[in-house]
Amino acid sequence: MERDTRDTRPDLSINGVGSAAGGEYRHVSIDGVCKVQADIASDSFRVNGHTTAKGSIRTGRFDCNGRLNVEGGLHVASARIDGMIRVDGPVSGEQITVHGMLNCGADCEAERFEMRGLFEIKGLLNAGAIEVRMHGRCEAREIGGEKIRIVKGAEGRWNRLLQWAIPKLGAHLEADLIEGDDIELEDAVAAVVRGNRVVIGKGCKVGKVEYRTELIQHPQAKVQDRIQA
Amino acid sequence: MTDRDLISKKELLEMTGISYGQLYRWKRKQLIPEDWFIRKSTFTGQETFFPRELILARIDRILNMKEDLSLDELAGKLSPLLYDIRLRKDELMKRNIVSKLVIERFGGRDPDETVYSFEQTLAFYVADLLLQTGEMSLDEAEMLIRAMKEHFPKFEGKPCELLFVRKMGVSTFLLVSLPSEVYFESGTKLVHRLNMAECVEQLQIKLN
Repeated sequence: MERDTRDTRPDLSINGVGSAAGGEYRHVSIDGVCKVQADIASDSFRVNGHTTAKGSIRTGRFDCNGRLNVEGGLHVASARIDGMIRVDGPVSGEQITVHGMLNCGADCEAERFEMRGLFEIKGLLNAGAIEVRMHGRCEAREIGGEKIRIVKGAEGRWNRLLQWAIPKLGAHLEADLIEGDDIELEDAVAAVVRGNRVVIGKGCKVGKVEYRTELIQHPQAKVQDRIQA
Repeated sequence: MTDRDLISKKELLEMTGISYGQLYRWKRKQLIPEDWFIRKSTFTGQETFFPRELILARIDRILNMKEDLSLDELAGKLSPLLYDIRLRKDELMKRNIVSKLVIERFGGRDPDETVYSFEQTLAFYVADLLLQTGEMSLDEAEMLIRAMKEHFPKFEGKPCELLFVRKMGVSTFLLVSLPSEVYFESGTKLVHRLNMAECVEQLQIKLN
């Protein structure tokens, strides 16, 4: 990549144990254990290991393997997260892919939100397309978008034993409200689901479904009220 | 704000014919401000409400402009801080944004080609609005315009409210930031209360 001569931002690279001040960088790469003390902005951000950020992270391409705690917000163009990530503030991005665990203290917004694993979002999960394969307890106050598909991930041989030992690994979704154009759910517990076309799959417990064109309900799903608007 | 001024999300979608997905998309793109989403609990659980007039006008504008502009361009157009709009005095009169009476009284000495800033136009507009309710006299309008000119820019676009109070014939104006609570002594009459953000919004619709 050709380096722009006017660009005076430095790169940040940490291997091992360290701590970094915030600021503006071109590329940030952290391997090991690191603490970022303030807000940080960069073109790309790569972390392997265990990182704690005291401020917000604003970056273009974001890659995370391992554990990351962010005390501010996380704003990215595209993110790929393998591991566990906790963000106290809001998460926003164009494309967010998570394999693992996502914990968000506020709203989470993306054009495309793909996930395999478990999430806990205290606010609203708002994305154009939401595609989740649950491998544990997933929780959000509200979910909204165009296309929402939240289903159970494939089960391994040891899963039942693990679920018995760690209840959090029992795959299901909890939300107060789910709204979208095209919704497909499995093992969801929700008070209200509203959409154009709604598929309520196996193991769902829904208080009220409001739909416009179509409602498909699995025989093993419980829906108290069905309203066609 | 009373319940009459609010519209539920469901009602809104039925009226405008947009889908949940579109509404969430516009929210993501910040075409609809966060504080318009008013969450209330009803007997059917949590419901979201919107300020009726504002949201209907906004959706109408989005639907009209969507054809020519991308959503991101739209976001720039709709931001509440469109303070760079300036209008000439004769244009303000011709397009009936501010009544002739107000312009002549408070801008009579300015030549026709004077260009007014957004704040100035807003001050005229608010004065005009209040004069038309019949609750304010012309002298008070002058006071209002002076107060708006002096203090409104200090809010820097933060939400604020205009309070018009009168006690024993003496009137005064207050600009307070929102959300805030104000209490008056019992002999005081709150003549009018105006949300500035709504005024800005209405004025913008008129200007465009």
